[in-house]
Amino acid sequence: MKTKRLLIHILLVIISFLFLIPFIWIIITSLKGRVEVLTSYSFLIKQFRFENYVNAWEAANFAWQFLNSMIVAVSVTIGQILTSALAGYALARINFRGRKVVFMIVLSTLIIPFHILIVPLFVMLSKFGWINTYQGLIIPMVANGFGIFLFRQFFIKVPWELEEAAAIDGAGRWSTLWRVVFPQVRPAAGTLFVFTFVAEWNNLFKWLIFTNSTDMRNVQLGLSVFQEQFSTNYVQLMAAVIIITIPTLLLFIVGQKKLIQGISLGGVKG
Amino acid sequence: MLEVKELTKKFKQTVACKDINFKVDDGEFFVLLGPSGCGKTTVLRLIAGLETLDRGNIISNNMSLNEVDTQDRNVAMVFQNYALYPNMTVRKNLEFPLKMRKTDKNRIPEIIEEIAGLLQMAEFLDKKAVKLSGGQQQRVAVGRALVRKPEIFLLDEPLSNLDAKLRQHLRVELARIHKELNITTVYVTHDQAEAMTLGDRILVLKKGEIQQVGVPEDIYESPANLFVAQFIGFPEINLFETELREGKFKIMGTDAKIKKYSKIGNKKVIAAIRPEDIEIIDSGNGIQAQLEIKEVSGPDTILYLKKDDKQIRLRVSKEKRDLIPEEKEAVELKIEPDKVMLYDYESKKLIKP
Repeated sequence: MKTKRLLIHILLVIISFLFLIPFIWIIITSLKGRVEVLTSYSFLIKQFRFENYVNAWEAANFAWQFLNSMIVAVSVTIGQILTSALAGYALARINFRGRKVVFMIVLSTLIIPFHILIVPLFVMLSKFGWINTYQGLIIPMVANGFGIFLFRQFFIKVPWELEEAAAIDGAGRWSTLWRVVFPQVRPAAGTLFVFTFVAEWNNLFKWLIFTNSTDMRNVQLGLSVFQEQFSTNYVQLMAAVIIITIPTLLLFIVGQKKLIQGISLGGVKG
Repeated sequence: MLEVKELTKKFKQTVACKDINFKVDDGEFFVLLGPSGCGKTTVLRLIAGLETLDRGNIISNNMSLNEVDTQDRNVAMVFQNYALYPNMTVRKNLEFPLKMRKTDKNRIPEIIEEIAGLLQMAEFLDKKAVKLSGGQQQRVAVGRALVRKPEIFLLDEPLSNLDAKLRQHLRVELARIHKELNITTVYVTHDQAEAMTLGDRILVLKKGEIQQVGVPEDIYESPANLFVAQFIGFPEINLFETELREGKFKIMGTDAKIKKYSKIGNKKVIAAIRPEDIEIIDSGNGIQAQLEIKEVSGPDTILYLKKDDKQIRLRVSKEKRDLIPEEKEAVELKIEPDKVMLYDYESKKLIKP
């Protein structure tokens, strides 16, 4: 048994190392000089250039883009958790006419890729005058079939007695949901938070289509500054990549446990 | 006062309860007793408003509760699996019903102290509810139900998830709390011992229909029908098919006569006698039977005898223990005819002289 475990661990270390190499390469590149990057493939750095980070931050007007990204990602994430919890609860617990049909419709939205929706969405947003606005970037994303599905699966497993006990204790539907039932499905909220935040933070496509002013760029779009006409400023680009990965990395570290719990619980029961 | 009239509820094709009528007086401890699936929990849930009734009326203090939502009925309930809020501490669990009913915030700590004292929960007030033992959780569940002094207190098999010793302990505790607070209580159980010891009155239910309502002594001493007779009492009551003629009948091969039955016409009956009402004697002229198994049950000994291929059950008290022979040996018995109850063979109902 012991040797078997050891072999598995060695294998896992090798695989994780393979996954880590690109990240290590990014870090190394971000600390090299512009010329050194193009002339040497060495993992060793001749001279550490931490100023790359400062230059990258200033070159791309990052503070502003960080703010844009943050506002949109946080709003969409919280919005999705709210709408998903409410819709998921209704689909799991309230007996209304057409519940099954609504649930099927919600599920079927999962198979439609976002790219198909982009043109009609763009037309709608431009008619509303929402191009280049936060609401244009936020509101189309605040309801999502996956989130609703995830919450529904969690709500179904909450014992009925808890809700009945709450009703007997005098709680209405609203307090029952938020004070008694919602706390039981926190892993779902945690999972959805990480998934949605990361997806929103890394989103490039939406910003590319729904915005055209330089003020309304997010960090991903901001990276394009380093793509100059005839060359790419790799060192600053990599430094910028590191900077913008930090929020999602932190989120993963903090939410790791909840994330695994959420995926495994939500996935098992169909 | 709680009054239930013609309560009827169906789940698809199954009738959960049918034409249930009863009244519970203020401060009374009323027990719904029956085997599992007899509809007793449904009756309780209907009173709480957790199910909608098909027909009938639930009246509390001269007001119909039919159209009142659960959260607006002044009813509290203890669930079989306690249904404590797992994300909250014991204190938060107890505070919840008070907060939901907008109790004055300044008074809440004082109320919690009081209930914690009554149920001896002070030492685990700030623990998470899920971290507690079964008995502690049960206390919290009772506390949460009682904390707002409800008009009606409902309990759904609250002791069935506990081990025997704890069950007995909490049974006494429940009786004490009821005495202290004097809240109108409806208690559901399948355990006859709980029903007998706790109930001021007992309602016996079978397949959604009332079998008998009465004080525990009546239920035990004159069961209204064979179902109640067999359901109540341990070991099970002895039944003998026989013929009643002018007050005389044969039981275990001997003649017996009960004067009060002499005016009843000749008919096929079932004679029933409680295991403790058959005496064991050594006079030499009693009824002969063979001892199969004996079980010591505390001060009493339970005997399973065989007579004409029929099992006869006996409960022998400590004083008569010396008369019990070894297993497989012969036993001599005596019956006091006045202790025999006669049931109609067709209707299975008690024949009243």
